[in-house]
Amino acid sequence: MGSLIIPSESLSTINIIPGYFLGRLPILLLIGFLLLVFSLFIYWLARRNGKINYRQSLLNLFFVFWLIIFIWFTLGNYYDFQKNKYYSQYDLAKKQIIRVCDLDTVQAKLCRLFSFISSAQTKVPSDSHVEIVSDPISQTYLTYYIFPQWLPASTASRADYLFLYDDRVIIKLESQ
Amino acid sequence: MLFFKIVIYFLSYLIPGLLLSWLLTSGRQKISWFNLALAYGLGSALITISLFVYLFFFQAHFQLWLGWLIVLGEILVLLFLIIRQKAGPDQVEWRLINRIRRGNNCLRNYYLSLSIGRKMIMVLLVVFSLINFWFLGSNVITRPIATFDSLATWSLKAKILFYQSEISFDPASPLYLGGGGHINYPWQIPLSQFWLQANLGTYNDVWPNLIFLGYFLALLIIVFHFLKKYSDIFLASIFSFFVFSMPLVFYHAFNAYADLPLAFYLMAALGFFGLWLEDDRRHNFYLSAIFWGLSFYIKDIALVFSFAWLLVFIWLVVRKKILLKNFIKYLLVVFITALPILIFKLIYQQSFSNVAGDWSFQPLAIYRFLEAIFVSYSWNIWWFIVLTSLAVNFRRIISSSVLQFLWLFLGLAIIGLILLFSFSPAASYALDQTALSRSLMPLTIGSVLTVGWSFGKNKQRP
Repeated sequence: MGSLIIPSESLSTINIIPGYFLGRLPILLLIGFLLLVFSLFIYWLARRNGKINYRQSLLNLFFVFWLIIFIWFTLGNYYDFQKNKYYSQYDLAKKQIIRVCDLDTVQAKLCRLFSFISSAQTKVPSDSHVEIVSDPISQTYLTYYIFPQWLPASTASRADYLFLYDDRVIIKLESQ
Repeated sequence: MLFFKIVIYFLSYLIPGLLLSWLLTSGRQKISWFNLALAYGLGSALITISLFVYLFFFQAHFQLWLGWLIVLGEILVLLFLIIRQKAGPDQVEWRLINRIRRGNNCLRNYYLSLSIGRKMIMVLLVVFSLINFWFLGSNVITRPIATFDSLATWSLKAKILFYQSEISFDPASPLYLGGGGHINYPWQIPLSQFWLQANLGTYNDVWPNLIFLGYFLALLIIVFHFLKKYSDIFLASIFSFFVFSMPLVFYHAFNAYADLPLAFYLMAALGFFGLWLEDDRRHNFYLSAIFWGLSFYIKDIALVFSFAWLLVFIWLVVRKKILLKNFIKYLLVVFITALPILIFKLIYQQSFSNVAGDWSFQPLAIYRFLEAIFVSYSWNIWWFIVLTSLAVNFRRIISSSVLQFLWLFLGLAIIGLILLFSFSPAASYALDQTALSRSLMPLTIGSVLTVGWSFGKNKQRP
């Protein structure tokens, strides 16, 4: 899960933000363990010495410990902000391409979708019914981006065209 | 022109939402930031449920003017009911306007009353929040929707509806019941996006981010309000800041997923129920039940949390903390609120489950669960704070019915999630670390209320 770099988004970011490790030790677990120890120590001190307001002290402690990951989080946001400056110079269509390519840096399946669609536009008439054959992730993205120019076919036999998208193959379009 | 259209869109939620909240509270609620946050949630639900009924039950073709006719009709009906109840504008204190006017003085006085340490922390909170809010704003206005489930489900349905202007009821059509892979999913999120796009007049993948930014801000406001109620501004500020800067929550503020809106509705339901246990005011009771019922329009996983809620309710009835008739009344309000989506599922034979397969225990799912809360950065150190809070506030918790309710709900809901993701076919979403972590979002934010109230002043009655 992750390495010590400034975070950037990927397809899995929407599900989970990866944690980092010191060797095999998760950093968050280390910070959390220290927080628990310090908190219980403050609580113990407060029970022995009635003058300490443990609730107030714990709140301050939470805030300080929170800042450790928060700094990493802010750096990530700053990195994204710089990226957004790059986004902002383009129109919506180009922004879509950049974001999808950015998101899929691990498998790099999706980036070619848009050149596939551009190529299909020269060969397949609008409003045709198409059947998409691809891996599930690419199929989802294709279904979204080709609509409403082309409509999904209810079955392969009713499709006017078959879209075979494989990121290892450049383009295959077959008319039935 | 674009700015004007976006403002109109948000007003189409806020105006009926405010009127509805006045009606439900017989004018007790004033215009405040909290009230506006509630209005956003209530208004968006009211308008999208109306569109849902129109599109699915009347099976009608959508036209923008008809949509606005529905909105204006609802505003007029609500106004009529408010005037009839005499809960209308003559009783409204325009607190928002007054507060803005008095705001500087209040903040200044509050700030001056703090110790030096607290002053430093408050300054840091404000500076950090402003910087990151600036970053968030840049994400919202530049990054088009492109994350997987958004395209597969929420935004795809909105896009199809935008171009087709109606729902397909032909089972042979690939666009049957809105199209996409998950036709059993609830409709509030797609319809919110559709209503925005319909008002803009052109389909655009960037502007739906604003809907989720709206939920994010509304969520922060209600978290702050509920915490302030039984603690103080300082604690409420720190814990609201924690919610604001939880990396996964922040990321969901601009990515068109349903988890953040679900967190908003469940948080409102929890908060109002906690308030009702404290002050016994009927409007808190009804608002809690309504917000709970509305969560069924957001995401099916609301059902899992509802089982936990039900068990806690039964426990409260058995312990005679609440009356049986209130329990039945609450269930009835939840049921009536959720009725359209339940009828939809019944008529079109759509289940709550999204995956088929065998039920078998997957121990690795529990490891994934622990990884999601104690190793990933999704929640910063929040779940360690929860553990600490449970340990140091244990005596307070067992002596307060509100805290018992909140902690018991949290525990049972976590058990419910673990059971779902380790025994059911949904375990695959835990094993590949996809839906599990983000499904924790409503509980994580709900736990902020639980921990905040546990650390609060001794205002709770035992």
